[in-house]
Amino acid sequence: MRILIVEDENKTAAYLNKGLSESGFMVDIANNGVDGLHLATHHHYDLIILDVMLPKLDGWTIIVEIRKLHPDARVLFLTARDGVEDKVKGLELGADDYLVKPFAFSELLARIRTLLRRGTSQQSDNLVIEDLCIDIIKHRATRGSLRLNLTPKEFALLVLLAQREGEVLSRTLIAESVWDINFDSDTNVVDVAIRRLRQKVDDPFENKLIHTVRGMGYVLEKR
Amino acid sequence: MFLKNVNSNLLSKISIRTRLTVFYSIAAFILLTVITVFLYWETINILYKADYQFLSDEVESIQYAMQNKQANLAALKKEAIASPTQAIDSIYRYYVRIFDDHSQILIETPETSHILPPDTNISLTHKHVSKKTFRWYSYNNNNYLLVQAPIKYSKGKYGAVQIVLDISYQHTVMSDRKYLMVALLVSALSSLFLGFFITHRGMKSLYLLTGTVKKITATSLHQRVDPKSLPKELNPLGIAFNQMLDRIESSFVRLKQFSSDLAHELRIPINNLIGETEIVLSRNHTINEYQQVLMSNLEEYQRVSQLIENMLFLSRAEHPQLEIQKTLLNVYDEIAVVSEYYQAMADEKNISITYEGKAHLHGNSIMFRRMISNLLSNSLKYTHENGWIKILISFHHSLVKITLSDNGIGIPPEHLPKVFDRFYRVDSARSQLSGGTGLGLPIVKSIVDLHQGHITISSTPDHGTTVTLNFPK
Repeated sequence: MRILIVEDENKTAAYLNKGLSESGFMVDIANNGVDGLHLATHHHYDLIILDVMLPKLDGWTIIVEIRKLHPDARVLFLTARDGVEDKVKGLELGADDYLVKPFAFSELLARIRTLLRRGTSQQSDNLVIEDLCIDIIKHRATRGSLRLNLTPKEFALLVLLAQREGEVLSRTLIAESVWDINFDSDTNVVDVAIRRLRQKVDDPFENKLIHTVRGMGYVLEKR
Repeated sequence: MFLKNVNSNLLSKISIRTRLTVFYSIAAFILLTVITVFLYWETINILYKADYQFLSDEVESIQYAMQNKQANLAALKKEAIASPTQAIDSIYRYYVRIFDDHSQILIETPETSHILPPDTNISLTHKHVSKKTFRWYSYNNNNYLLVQAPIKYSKGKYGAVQIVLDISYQHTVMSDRKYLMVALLVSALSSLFLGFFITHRGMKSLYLLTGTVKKITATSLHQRVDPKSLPKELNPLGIAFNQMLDRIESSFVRLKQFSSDLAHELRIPINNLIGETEIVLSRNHTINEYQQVLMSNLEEYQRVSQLIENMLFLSRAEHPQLEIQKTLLNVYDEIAVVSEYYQAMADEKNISITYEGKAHLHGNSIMFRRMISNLLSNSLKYTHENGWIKILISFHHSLVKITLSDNGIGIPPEHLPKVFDRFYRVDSARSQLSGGTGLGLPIVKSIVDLHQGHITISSTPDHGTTVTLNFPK
């Protein structure tokens, strides 16, 4: 998977490069708009991460140019411009997602994975991780032979973690996906919800599936 | 319209003192002129009336004398001749002339022909003098009033009598208006000076007020104007001014408090970051220890980031041009979403969250949820285990009312007025533990303000807190 990062702030570009490379992506970096547009139009990328305020050529112009040549290219805006109208403009111009700085890297990663997954494989109705089985249609979760007695929100939380198996999900992303809470809120709530879910999913069993990644969020995987 | 603007601009540039002085003087001058002119004309009128009256009386007495002492021309002559000499010191110097029916002069006061021009001779052959007439004329630089009347001087014979009054003296007096002009000018000038003096006296307290106000600077905001020393008209201004100073001073104090609080809020996480990083770099540590420090640092960064996000939200909400996108919200549904989010936390402490009622309002969904979220989060933090939180939605008089009450630890009354101040914490130690930034309620307040709503908070320590929100539909 190749990702192009168009970002003029060197430190940001460097850590994005490091983080994404370590997550298994091939990363190219352009630190001005003209180079960015050249790379984006002459090579194939699975995803382009675009800043708005760029030297020589701004992000708004670049996305319009890219869309002309590659209507199906995936573009994610990553910018300090957090006004609602900027967000709307970015999405109207054809961006697939819009993330405001400062952001948690784990959240960027989760969003990138969501974008790259989009349109490729159909989400399966049954999820199986180790001895955890989730039947999304029947709203049933079992571990081994034991039926897990979950509230609807706990079930939604477990489904989210299981669908993103191995991905670290930030508290913000969890709050957004499960409770539709799209603002900066008291994220202790997510910790409490995860703790209660763990009591039901992990506590009675030997091998734990839900893990805390300190400072970043939660991940469901076999360890 | 344009002219009017120019005029008002021009007027506003001239000082009130000058304006009042000029208006006073013009008014006084006009008044004086009108009165003077009126009196002048009235005096002249009275004088002339007296003249006419005098002449009419003379004519009548001569007519009477002629009728009754028809032949006694000598006596009449004596009287006619004597009259002007008697009146030689009086302003009433007059001359008499009597014509017979053939236009011949019967009797006349000596020198009458010197003062009467030839054209005043009457030719009675053509017509009779039928009625009394008056005539003005000037002759040899003198002014005269002439009266002419029919006269019956013997049986069946009608002649005419002429009496001439020398009015040169009156004329000279009345036509010499020099003194009048000087008097008018003097009074106009004195009204100008008096006007200036009075206005200056009147405006003095305004200058005093300006002086006091000038002395007030950022460092001496505690100074006040003494309204008692001001006249009645300026008293409300002084009071209003003091009230404005009160408001400025309080917001100034708040601003100072706010910036020092902000510095303090930022210093804590930055201090932690510096300290932890310095210590871990001073010696070699295991990877695990480095990881621990980095994770701890990450938490501090997130704290700073959250603080910045909240600050940005508040400063943007205060921007007067901010226009939020509003849709029709189902209040119950919005509250349900947020309550569900906090359900797990409430279950932990076995606190029941209940909500009931129905209403719709125009608002921004994200902001509305954030507001409810901040309030619920506070209530959950400060409510004991097994407590309750109740949300009531109601709609009446086109107002949507949302009441959120809990039976938590409450807020001491002395803290209540300040809970919407940024970074204000009822108990700093407790809030640090519960992880708040001290911006929760200020954000709630700013969201309420953005929705043209109203928020009140009441509380009884150890019994609970009630927050009441009112919104226009």
